[in-house]
Order: sequence, then C-alpha cells, then structure tokens
Amino acid sequence: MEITRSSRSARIPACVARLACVATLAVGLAAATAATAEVPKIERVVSPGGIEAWLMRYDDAPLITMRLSFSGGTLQEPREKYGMASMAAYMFNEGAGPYDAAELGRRRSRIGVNLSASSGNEYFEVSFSTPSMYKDEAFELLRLAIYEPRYDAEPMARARGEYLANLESALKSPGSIMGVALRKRLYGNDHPLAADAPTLMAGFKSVDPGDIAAFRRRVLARDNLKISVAGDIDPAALAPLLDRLFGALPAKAELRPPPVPGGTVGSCEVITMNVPQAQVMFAAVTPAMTWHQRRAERVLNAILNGEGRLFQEVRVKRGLVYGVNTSFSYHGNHDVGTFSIQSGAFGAEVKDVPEALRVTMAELRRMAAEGPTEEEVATVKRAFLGSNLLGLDTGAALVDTMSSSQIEKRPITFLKDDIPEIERITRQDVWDVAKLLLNPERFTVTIIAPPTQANLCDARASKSE
Amino acid sequence: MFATVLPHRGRPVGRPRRLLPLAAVLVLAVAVSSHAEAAAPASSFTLANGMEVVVVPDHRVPVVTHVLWYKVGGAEDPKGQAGVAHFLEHMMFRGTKRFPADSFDKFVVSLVGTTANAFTSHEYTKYPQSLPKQKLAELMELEADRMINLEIREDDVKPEIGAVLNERRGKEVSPLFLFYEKLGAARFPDHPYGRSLLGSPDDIKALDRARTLAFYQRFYAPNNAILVVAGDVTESEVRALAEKTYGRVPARPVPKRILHPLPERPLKGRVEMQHEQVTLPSIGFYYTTPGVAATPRADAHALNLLSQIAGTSIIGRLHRRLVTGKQLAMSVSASYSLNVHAGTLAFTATAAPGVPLPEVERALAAEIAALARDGVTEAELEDARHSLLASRAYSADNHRNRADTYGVGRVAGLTLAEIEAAYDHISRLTLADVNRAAAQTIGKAQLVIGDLRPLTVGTAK
Repeated sequence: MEITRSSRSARIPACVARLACVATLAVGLAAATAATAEVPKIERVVSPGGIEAWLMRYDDAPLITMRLSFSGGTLQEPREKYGMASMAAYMFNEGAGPYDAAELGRRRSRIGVNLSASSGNEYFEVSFSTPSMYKDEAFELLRLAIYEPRYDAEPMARARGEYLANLESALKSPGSIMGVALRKRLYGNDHPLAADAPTLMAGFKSVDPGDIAAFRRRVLARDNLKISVAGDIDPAALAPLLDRLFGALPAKAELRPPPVPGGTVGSCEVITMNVPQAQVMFAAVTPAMTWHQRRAERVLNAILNGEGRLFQEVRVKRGLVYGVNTSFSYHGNHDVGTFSIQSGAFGAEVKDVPEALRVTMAELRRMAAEGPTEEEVATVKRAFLGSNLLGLDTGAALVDTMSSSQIEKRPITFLKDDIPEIERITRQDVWDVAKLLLNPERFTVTIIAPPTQANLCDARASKSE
Repeated sequence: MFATVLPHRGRPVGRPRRLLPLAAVLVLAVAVSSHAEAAAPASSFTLANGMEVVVVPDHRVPVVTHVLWYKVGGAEDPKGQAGVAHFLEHMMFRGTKRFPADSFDKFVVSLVGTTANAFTSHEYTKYPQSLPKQKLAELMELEADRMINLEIREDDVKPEIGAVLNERRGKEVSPLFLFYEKLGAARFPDHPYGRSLLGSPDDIKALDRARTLAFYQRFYAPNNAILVVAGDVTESEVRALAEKTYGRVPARPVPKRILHPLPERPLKGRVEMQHEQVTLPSIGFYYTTPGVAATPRADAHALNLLSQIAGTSIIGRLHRRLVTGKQLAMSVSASYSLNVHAGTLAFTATAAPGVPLPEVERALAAEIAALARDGVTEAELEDARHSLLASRAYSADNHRNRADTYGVGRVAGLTLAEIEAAYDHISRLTLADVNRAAAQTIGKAQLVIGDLRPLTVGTAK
C-alpha cells in the first residue's frame, strides 16, 4: 500500500461522464511535441485494399501494439437499450470462433496477448498487443474476435451481473449520486449522459445478443475506423494484415448525432448524506471551440491546476482541501458533432466548504477578469514543449497518442506541427478562453455533505475577499 | 492495495471494476528480467557517501525516469507518531533555502506540466519523476538539495496537516480503505504493518515541526537512499551527475532497519465490517507469510505462480470453479505480495447476488484446502508458466516499470542478479516446488479471515 502526496491522483470525481470518466481526448499534454529534433517518425501504411494505418516502428522491445478506434460509443445507444455498447465491449473477448470464453482466455494468456475493448461515450476502442514471436496466432485471435464473436449464455450473464452489481453500488456511492445529480442539471434529465443507475439497470437487463450484434453492425465499420500500430512490425508485413483483419468489415458505419445538452445553467444543489468529507463538483457546458482554442484551454487549465493557482490558494496556503482540480472535457467526435464541458471538484470538511468554494470561485473569476500572467503562460508552454516525449515511451502510450491525433483529424506530422502550434499561443488567447470557460455564474454546482446549518451554496456567488 | 494512479488520459474501461480488488499489489515476485530479449541490462554503483545508484538503460526516446527511494517508511514511525513518515513526504515539497517553497513544483510544472508526486509505503518513501533527458541534471540538483537542506517552517505545518486530514477523509469515503485498516490492525498487532500509514485523525493533528524534523534528520541521508535512473542514459553519464549532486551530501549515521518479528498469533482470527456502501458481501482469506529475507526465492516465485493459477480472471481455478462453475461468486481473486517484514497470500470472493456469504466462504475454504492438499496440476502450471514467460516481452517496453521493479527489489534487499533472475527462476520451477510452497504456506501460516458486508438495518455499524 502506498499513500500519495499529490492531489492529482484520481481521488477527485472530476468527471462528468456517464459510466466512467472520459478523459479529455485532447492531445495537448501527452502529445505536445518534441522541442528536440528527435521526433519519432510515423509512417502511413495503406493496404492493397485501401485500409490505412499509422505505424511507429521500433524493435527495441519484441512487442506489437495496436489500437482500433471506431467512432460511436455509448451515445449511440437507444434509450431502452442503455448498456449495449458496454456489453459489446465486455463480450468482445468472451469467446470467438471455435473457442468459448475460457479457451479463448487460456490461449490469449499463454502467449501474452492483451485483447480488450472499451466503450467511451463517443468511441468504441479495441486495444491489442502481442509479443512479436506469437504474432500469427495472436492476429488470428483478433480476427476471430472481430468476425466470429460468440454470445454464450455464461459470459452474457456474468457481464450483465457485473454491470448490475456495479450499478447497484453506484446507488449508494456518494460520488455516483452527486455525479448523476450534477449531470441531470447540466445535460437535462433525459440526456443519455444523465442516465441514473435505475435507468441504466433497466437497459442492461434488456440487452440481448441480438442487440450487441446490431450495435456491432452499426459501429464496427471501415469508414469510422482509425488504426494505430507501434512496435516490432514493418510496413510490408502490416499492409496485407490490415486487409485480412479489417477488409471484410462493412464499408460504412451508421451513426447518429448525440443529443444536445439542455440542462439548467448556474443552479446549485446540496445533497445531504452521511459522508466523512463533503464533496463539491461544478461544471458548465461550453461553446464549440477551434483546435487553437482547445490548445489555449490546455494552457489555462494547467495554470489553474498542478502547482497552479487553485492548488496554491486552496491547499498550500489554507490547507482547506487535499486536492482541487479543474478540467475540460470534450464530448462527441468530428463525425457526429461535439460539445464540451469545463468542470472542477474538491473535497473538504463541511465547515470549510464555504471558504473553499469562495476562494475557488474567486480565483476562477480573477482569471477571467485579469487573465494569466505572461510568465504563467510561458512556463506552461515550455512544459508542453518539453513533455511531448513522455507520452511516447511505451507501445501503449504510442498508440494512444497516435489514435488521439487521428481522431482529431490531425495530420500525420502532428508531432512536428505541435511546436509552432504551441508557440503560437499567446497570453491573450488563454485569457479569451478563460472568459469563455470560467464564468462562475454559469457553473452548475452540486455538493454532497453531512447535515449542516450553513447554506453551502451561498459562497459561490460572494465576490468579496 | 490501493493502486495509486498517476494522471493519465485513459479512456473508459470496458469492464466494471471488480468489487473487491486484489488484496495487495504484487511486489517483487516477478521482476523484470534485464536480459529479456531486448532490454539492456541494469548496472549499479555506490557513491563515496554510501548512496547506491542503479542505472536502467532504454534509449528509444530521450526521456528519463529518476526515482529516489529512501529506505524508510511508515514502519519507522515512532510509537505514538503514526503518520510522520507520510507527513514528512508532504513537507519535502515546502522548500529549502536555495529552492524555496513550491520551486520543486514549479520546476516540474515547467517541464512536464504536472505536479511532482511522491509515495509512502510501510517500507519506503519514493520520489519519482519522468522528464526530458536534458533536464536530469537540474532535477538531481533539487533532489540532492532537499535531501539535506529541507526547511520545515512552523507556518507551513498547519496547512499541510489540513491537507493530510482531507486526504484521510477522502479515503474514508471508501469502505475498502476502512476495511483494510481494520484488517491490517488485526493481522499485525504490535507490528508496524498494523499501524495506519496516514495515522488516525488524532495522530495527524498531533504532528508537529519538531518531530517531523527529527524524523528527517534521522532517516534522510545518502547512505539510506537508492537512486534509480531509467531511460535514455548511460552509467557514466549518471555517475558524473550523481557525484556532482548527491555526492556532495555527507553521509550520516542512520539507525539500522529493525526487522520486526511477526506476531506470534493474531489477536483476532476474523475481521468483520458492515458498511452502507457495500452491496455484495465479500470474504477474504489472508495468510501471513515471512518477509523477504526469510523467504527463499523459489518459494516467492512458487507462491506467485500459485496465485496466478488460482486467481487469474476467467481462466484461473477459482473463477472456473466458483464463478462460472458453481456460480456462487461474482468475482474472485488470488494474490501474493512480499514485503520487507512480511508477505501476504490472499484469496477473496465476492458473493453472487442472492448467495449467502457463508456458502461462498465454505466453497472458497474448500478450494484453498484442495490447493494445499492436492496442489495444482501440471497443465495448470504449464499454462501459467508459459503465460509469465510470454509476458516478459512487455518488460522491455516500459522503463518506468523497470525503474520501479529495481527500486522495490533493492529496498527489500534483493540483489540485481536476484531481481533479474526472476524469469529464469520461474521457468525452472517444478510442480513439486509449487505444491510444496502451497501446502506449507496454507498449512502453517497465520490466517485472518476478512468479512465485509452490506449494512443491515438494526445491527452494529
């Protein structure tokens, strides 16, 4: 067991996504590029059948890593079938072709193959890696998982049981309760991202093999697929493999635009519950932003977070919290439409909530009113330029970075392009984005706290120091 | 047991989280092999002041990971001062004369845009940082300076106590955190492993400048530290930098690490807890095994293989028998962890909906007894061994994991050769080795059973 110092270690329920936290797709930090000349080279590989993949080759480790990213995730589920994307992901490696779940698992495990799928709100992703010495057998298992899925009764029941059990505990978890409450206000009661546990449970109970097959038919196609590969394979070997693995997928996916968020703006709600620590979350739906604005947003949130303003004011100077964070998340995708969320969260003793909320909101207001300093912007830009390579040091990190960039429709030269793009960001750009995003009056606030006489919502509006 | 996750822009997972995760992280048991197909071997040297340096080369990307380990942790918290090792770890970011408060954070932010993090366990305190290679010298300046020149100001103590109290309350939201604290206390009475790393709220409030400073002066010294630098560096580069930075910090006498004997017998053979956030009850069998020094390497590897054979998801024996077979459990786990003072072999099961916990407990107990009595089969062993050996390809792919493996191993007193021999050792293990270790451990080790249930109305909390 380790206990950590930092506030950034995922304890804070800063996400406003549905089943799990969807991290920002932004490529900013991890993929911000090399200030050095040693930018790794990405090759475009096109199969004889016209299927494209991005490849970053290296043979230092005897490993091949692949990421498939299909546009279309849980936001593609019809309301009465919430859960079908997650069930499709779970069942992706629970038996295929001649092998039931146990036999497929045994075969994967024996040769060190990782094969799993996950469904985010907007993307259905498959992660795959294999020691290169077992690649033929491994790719055959992947091919079977794509074309000959099985929906055996045992894993179907197990999948449903696990999801239902998790949703059951979400009914009692303070983090989930406040998350649902916040999302209902933010997105509107009927928005899929605001679905509460009972609604999701009803969906999961009704998903059957036919639903999963239907979801796969709509989403696993060629025109919405991005393929990223890293490691010990050369283009000549990869090209024909792409046809063998993906050539028989339907040409076109059938995707629907996600529902537009339609919640309230600027409300505040306190949920009373017997919790050891009060939790505060706030969020606002924000306007569509250009790529350049999203770059500036990364700088803005970096200035607020990290050792930045909020951490210094709320934790270091006053000790009111263990961590306080803001974040920006981007929902939707370029194929079907987008919206984004600026949010923040902290936990504090209930008596300290008004003070912590007041200081937090005052800092956000100050940032919008006065903008960052030149020094703050310069420091973060330097960091972005320097950190680029940290996201490229394992096969999994490489395909993650390439996949994000493909999703964002960035050019294959994105690692190089990052340098001028980051250098171009000015203090004024960051300030402009701060004015767009940091408007405490627009934040929807949800607080979960033990019973108290104090009106916890009052502090968010008070402007006095 | 609570994997600490650094910021990562991960995507959502496809599966729900297990209700009762593995009881403990696997430590040491399977180390990275430095002579796996492609990984360049690690090397080490010792500075004149006694500080050990391990270099783990990986030249793919011009990035390095610098991890400074102090061989001190919660186990060294003086009686009545639980939490001081962890509190000092926090105060290490409050600055020195040369690098005033928050300059460490500022340095790291300016490099990689995130705050510096640090970790305290019962046996070590570690300060890791990945950074562009050309910045390594600067980081070493900072890190060496705060090894000797930390200023602990009275004014900083109170706000940091506030942060730690909030850290604790944040963790208390999780029933598992509370459960593991209770379990630790029952398994290790009068032993440092039984004490909270964070300290109780009263312990935390009682922390002060004088005790924190005393702890720092007592334990933070080059001769009580291990530096691991992994990534795009060579031994000679690291040696030159280390001599210029850490090499200037004088050695000082550090108390020899006391090996705390295991309790003769646990005070309680069973820990029960009910919590309103628990929906499905869980049962865990926790066997206390000897610490690193008292565990032959063959036994450590054998118990690791045993836990893999029993606990792997979908294909492991417990899953096949209790989840898919009898359908008594929603999920199962088996794990083996080995630490300085003691190890843990654990088997857990979470009941399937509607199945009474005693029935799950009986079935799990029967499987554990069968492992001790009949052992595993040759086919199970062959699959597990094949799987572990196949996975060695991954070890060459992640220099940060390699840095961690070497650091944890060295802190526990394993030699580089022992750390690197793990795969070879595993490939030579026989069925008799595994089954002997299983029978001995399950038959002789102290057992504490943990029982975590939903809160039922009208019963104790």
